[in-house]
Amino acid sequence: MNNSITYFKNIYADDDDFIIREIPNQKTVIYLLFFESLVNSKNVYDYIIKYIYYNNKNNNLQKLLCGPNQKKLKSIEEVSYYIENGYTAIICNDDIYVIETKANIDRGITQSTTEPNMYGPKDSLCENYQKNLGVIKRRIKSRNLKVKSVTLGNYSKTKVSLIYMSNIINKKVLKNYKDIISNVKEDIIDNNNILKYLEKDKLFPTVLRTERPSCVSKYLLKGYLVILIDNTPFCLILDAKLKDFINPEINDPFVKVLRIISFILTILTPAIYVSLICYNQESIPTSLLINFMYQRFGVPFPAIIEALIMLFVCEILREADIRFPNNYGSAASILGALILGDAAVQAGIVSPIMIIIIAITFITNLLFTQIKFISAIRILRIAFLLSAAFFGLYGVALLIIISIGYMTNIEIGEDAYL
Amino acid sequence: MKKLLLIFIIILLTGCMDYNELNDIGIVSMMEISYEDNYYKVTLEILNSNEDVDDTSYFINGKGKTLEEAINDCKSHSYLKPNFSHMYVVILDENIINDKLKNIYDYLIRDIEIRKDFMVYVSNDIKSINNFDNINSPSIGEYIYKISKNQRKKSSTYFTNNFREIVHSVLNKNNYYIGSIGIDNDDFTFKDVYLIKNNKKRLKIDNKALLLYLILYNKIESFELNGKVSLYAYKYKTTIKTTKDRITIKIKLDTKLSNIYDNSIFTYNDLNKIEKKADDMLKEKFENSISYSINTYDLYNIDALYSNKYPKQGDKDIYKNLNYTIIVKTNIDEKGLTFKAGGK
Repeated sequence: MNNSITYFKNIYADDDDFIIREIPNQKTVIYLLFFESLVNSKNVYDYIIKYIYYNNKNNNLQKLLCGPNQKKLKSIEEVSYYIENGYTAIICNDDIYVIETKANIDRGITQSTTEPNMYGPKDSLCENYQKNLGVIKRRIKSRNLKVKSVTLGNYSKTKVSLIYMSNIINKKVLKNYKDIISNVKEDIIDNNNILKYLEKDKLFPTVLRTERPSCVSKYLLKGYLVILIDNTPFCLILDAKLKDFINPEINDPFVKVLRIISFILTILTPAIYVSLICYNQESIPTSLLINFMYQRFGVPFPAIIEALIMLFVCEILREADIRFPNNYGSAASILGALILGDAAVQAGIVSPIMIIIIAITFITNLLFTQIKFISAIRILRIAFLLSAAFFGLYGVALLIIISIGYMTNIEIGEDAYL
Repeated sequence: MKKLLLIFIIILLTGCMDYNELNDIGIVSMMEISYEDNYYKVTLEILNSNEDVDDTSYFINGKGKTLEEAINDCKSHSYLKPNFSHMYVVILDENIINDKLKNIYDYLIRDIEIRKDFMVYVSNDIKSINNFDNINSPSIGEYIYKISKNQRKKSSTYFTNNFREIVHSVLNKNNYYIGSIGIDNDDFTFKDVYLIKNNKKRLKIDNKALLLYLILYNKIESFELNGKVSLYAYKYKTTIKTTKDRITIKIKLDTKLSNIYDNSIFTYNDLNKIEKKADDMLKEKFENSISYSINTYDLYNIDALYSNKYPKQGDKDIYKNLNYTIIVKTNIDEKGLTFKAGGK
């Protein structure tokens, strides 16, 4: 038996998915090496077996094989990488060839679920790198669209590409990110664990995640850098500014203003309510204050505790709603609505006005879908709430100034974050 | 770790200054102050925070040798902490405005919790105000405030200052007015107006003389001129020119015919005559007001106006020695004609 085959039998000794197929030829034996789960057997037959069987007198593999993507390898060590990526290796004496025979094991291009678009293109990225690159290139037909790929991950060997428009992108930014990407040391690469290398701030996100190719192409043309990762249905856009998170790809000025107001409301509503109720009662019209007093009569907790309880319950409900299978989703919502909307008020644990305040907070929060951005909003909301509970409107104003100062201090590329 | 420690220190050391839980405070809507037997007596009207109770407000009383003592006495009688940030009205007993105003203002200015734009009234029957219950408003204080807000811009015979205006007048050493409030036939009455000079009541003024003050200081929005023909003055502009020995007051009125009693007026000549008559009538009225002022007190703060222009020559009571010229120009707005005039 060929030494090479013995070598592979040893390194994949306990892997039943690894297949070695022997095909006798006139003078020798041709070995096919592949992973059964990663290759399409039809491709193996069409590109390799068919030709070898019908031309069993010909030992010249170069002439026999006709796959669309085939390579001749120089060393035996290179084979593992290819067969682990869905290629089939053909070994005949000392010649080693690999042919792409990947199985179609992705879910195909489907409709966008996290960023639905009513009148725009409906397609979204999928787990297949080639398809993702394809749908982006289909939108930008330019020689300036560049794709630089590296393989990262000690075990995953994931293909990570930097995509950019060479004539628009800031060269310093590009170089900076090339250096960062080359220093990534992870066992498995996906868009979550690569983020910690790319994010420039602990609180506010600077990397935008999208699954819409139309969105990717627009950001590419604005000079942003796009990172595409194999097996990930999202690509990363950087350096994103605060406005990109508040108003991603929205052209209607009214909607833009609406979203900015919502951003402010979702952070400040509970804090302002607590300030007005506990410190700055003079700032509310008397009739409204009396109304608040009526509603809060008999509630045992201070407003801050009431707000924290409600926010905590709503966060749990939200998390449950996201993780729950769709079939149970409505049950969770009904349970939450019953508990929060009616039973808690009837039991006198919270006041009806607090339900309204929390409802405004969470409804306005629903406008934003980026996970890290939502986390930042959540942290800010709690910080503002605590500040309001200890200092009133003065604390809220103070924290607004600190937050603005903090955001202007975040450097992304040559621009300011805010 | 250091950051966490810092956050905890900040939180623990704040002590939540000024923290008041909403249901622990009693919203004061009205304060009444009187002075009897060397004691200040204070009554606070507090809004009820329990929806299930029939009465929307209740009263607490306190007394003390100083106003602060009296208010603290009120606070000690209340299970809720009185909150003065929504106080609409302060009613002063008539005997207190003779000599205790300075003390009252001093306390009200210094207390930062007290709202500063409440209306100030004088009454000789505070008890009957407390017993007034035929209202559609949550409190008597709010009821009086809403009436006075509507009345303030419309009435040409009654006026009272709010506290902010009083403080402004006191600081500028100007005279100012406080109106009286009472109850007659189960409803509030607003009749008399007192002139306050150097924080003491000086005069219950003739209500006819008030119009000139309201026009000079832009305190009135619109007013009616009643004669043979009724005119409604909806806009006016007043300019005051001060020279060494003369004050010239120019008043330009934009009016419209509010009612025509005499059906024979249909020509433009007639309208011109009406304008002329209105000019003469107002001029006479304002000249009488000035004469009244010269014979009593400086009702229109002419001394202050004069000393602004001539600070070195501003003698005390110089308004008595000045000459006055009053020019009134009434214009009837054609657009406001109820009947289209004939003969055009």
